[in-house]
Amino acid sequence: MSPELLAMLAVMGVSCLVCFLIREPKLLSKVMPVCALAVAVATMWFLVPVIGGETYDEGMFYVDQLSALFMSLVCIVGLGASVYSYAYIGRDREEGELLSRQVSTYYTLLMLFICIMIATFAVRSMAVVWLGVGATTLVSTFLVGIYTSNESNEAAWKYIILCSVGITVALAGLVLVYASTIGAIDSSLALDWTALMEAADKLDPNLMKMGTALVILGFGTKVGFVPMHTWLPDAHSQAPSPVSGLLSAVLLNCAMYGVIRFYMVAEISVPGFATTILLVFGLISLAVAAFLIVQARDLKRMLAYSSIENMGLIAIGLGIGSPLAITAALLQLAAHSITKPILFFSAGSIVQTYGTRTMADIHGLPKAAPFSSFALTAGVLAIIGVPPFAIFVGEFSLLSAAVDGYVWVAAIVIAMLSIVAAGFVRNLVSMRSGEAPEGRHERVGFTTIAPIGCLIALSLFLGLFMPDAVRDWIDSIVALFGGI
Amino acid sequence: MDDVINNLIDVCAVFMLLLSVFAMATTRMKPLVLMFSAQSFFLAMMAVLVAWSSDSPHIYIMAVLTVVLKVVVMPWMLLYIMRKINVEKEVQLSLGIPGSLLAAGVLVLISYYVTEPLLGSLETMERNSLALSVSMILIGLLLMCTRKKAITETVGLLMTENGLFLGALAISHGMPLIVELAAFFDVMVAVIIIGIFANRINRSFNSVDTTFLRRLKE
Repeated sequence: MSPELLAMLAVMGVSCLVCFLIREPKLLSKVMPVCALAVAVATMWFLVPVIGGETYDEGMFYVDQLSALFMSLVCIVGLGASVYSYAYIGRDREEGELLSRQVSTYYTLLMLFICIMIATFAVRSMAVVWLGVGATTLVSTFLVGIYTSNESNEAAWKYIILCSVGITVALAGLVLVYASTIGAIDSSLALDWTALMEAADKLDPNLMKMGTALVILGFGTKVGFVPMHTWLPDAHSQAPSPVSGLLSAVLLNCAMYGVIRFYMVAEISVPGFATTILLVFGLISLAVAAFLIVQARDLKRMLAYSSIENMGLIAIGLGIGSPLAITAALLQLAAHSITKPILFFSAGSIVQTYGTRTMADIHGLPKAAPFSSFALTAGVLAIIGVPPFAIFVGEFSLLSAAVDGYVWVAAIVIAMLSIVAAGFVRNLVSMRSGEAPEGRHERVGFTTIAPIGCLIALSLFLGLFMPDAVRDWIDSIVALFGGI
Repeated sequence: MDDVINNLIDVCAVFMLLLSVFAMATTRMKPLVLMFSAQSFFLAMMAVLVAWSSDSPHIYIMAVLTVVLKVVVMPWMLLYIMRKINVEKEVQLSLGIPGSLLAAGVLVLISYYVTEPLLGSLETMERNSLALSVSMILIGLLLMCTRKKAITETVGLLMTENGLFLGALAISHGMPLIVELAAFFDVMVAVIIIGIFANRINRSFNSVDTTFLRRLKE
């Protein structure tokens, strides 16, 4: 193993251990963000040569540019969520929403959650990727249900049951994919990523088709494709806001990563099959989510529906399947991961200030919560795809890709995006107008401003000046899609 | 000799399906859990037979794990949770027994229909097992949808998983060991967590009836 990888794994192990051993909540809430920073630095240090174009391939680890994209997103958002937790969880603790024992558990699980997600992207066997996706559910169930109220128990229950069914269906898909490799690949390497790609055109097409369908269905449950999305708004709205941000921005990506990997194999072995499924799921998710956003009454549920919508857009990009469309899907994925935490973090502060998530009861935002109001406005503009922000680049590339041969898709996407924009803006305007309630003020400290500010800046930076390095990085990922 | 083993494998698979169908027809909680245990026992038997006939020793490990975890530990855990939270002994059904059995029968037919295109790629012995496996997966999911208690949902999930392992044994003589270990680990931890949350739900509503879980909606 290379020293960089060893260092990354060692830092992850030590961080988890430290967060496990310290039980004092005050201390842990300071130590855990530092650990998250250490993990992020170690991971990025390991990733620099990979982003430059090398592929790391040794033992059970395999990291290419695609994994590097997902890993760096986890690092950025994970660090942001850990820092923001200090402010958010600290206030919950003061107001008696959480016991000190729960606070310690929260930070330990958060660290473990981040490390498991990073590790999921670094392995070469698809079976281990499957295990990683399953393990993220198990860890995050407790984060969703941390408040132990009736509602959060219900959300956690739905989350674990639906995602367990999803993961079982994905395993059934894995079994069929494995069966399709018999005779083409040596059985000890059968679900090995590189071996699958090399032998993709020799796999049994019938078994591969059914396997791919089940894998997309199974992982799709966790991505939040409609109609398997019902756990998503519940879990996102009941979890503490830093966790909602993580769930939406990177947990959904974990499952999407599984979908993308199998999509790449399937497009070589049975061209046109996975694209059709993803296009259908994408369009349904986009359309249903757009109408759910319009009728949403709960602030955090509205943001959750927007995640379904964005996952739909990514699936549409993959479903169109041209190099430009795949570029668009990857840009959209990265942009969504950076933008959504801005919204969830600022919504978290707003919910704590007003004591309610119902948008009809939130008025006069700029008076009562000036910073959160600014951040939420910036986030809403970013997520509906207003030009200088990164999402605009993703959505615009997607539309340009769709115009070439999929004009009807472009038309549907434009119509749905307008509905989404209308829904968001209407709710934002009603929350910003009106009288601010007496005696309610937001608390703004470094740990609130820093993560939100950095993410807004990053979103603007990627939208305004996409650096050549990032361009090349995305291009090298698209080159990995051998089937197109 | 091979014929005998193949027939025995089929017998095990059929018993597993029968137990799934019986599970659809039972109205009491404890027998339901015991049926899961018995089904897992047949799965383990089948694993031993497949391991012997295909001479692949790693499947024996899977058989042992199945006996330890699914025949003994998980049913014991479920019964323990049930005792601890004093769950009522009757299963709450949202679909009556005749309806459930009819639905199960339809699902078996559907399974034979959907596995038809795959049969070309498989040997004779595996054909039945594949269809049976798909039926068990579907019946398990139906059990989850039509039963109202947290524990019955869990048993449905576990029976789905058993069907999946049957399929894996039948079409590829088991999966690579790492997949099997991963799957066992995942299910085991999921059951523990589900137990914890069933307990919490019971404390909140004084019942594990999941129809109480209808607050989160718009």
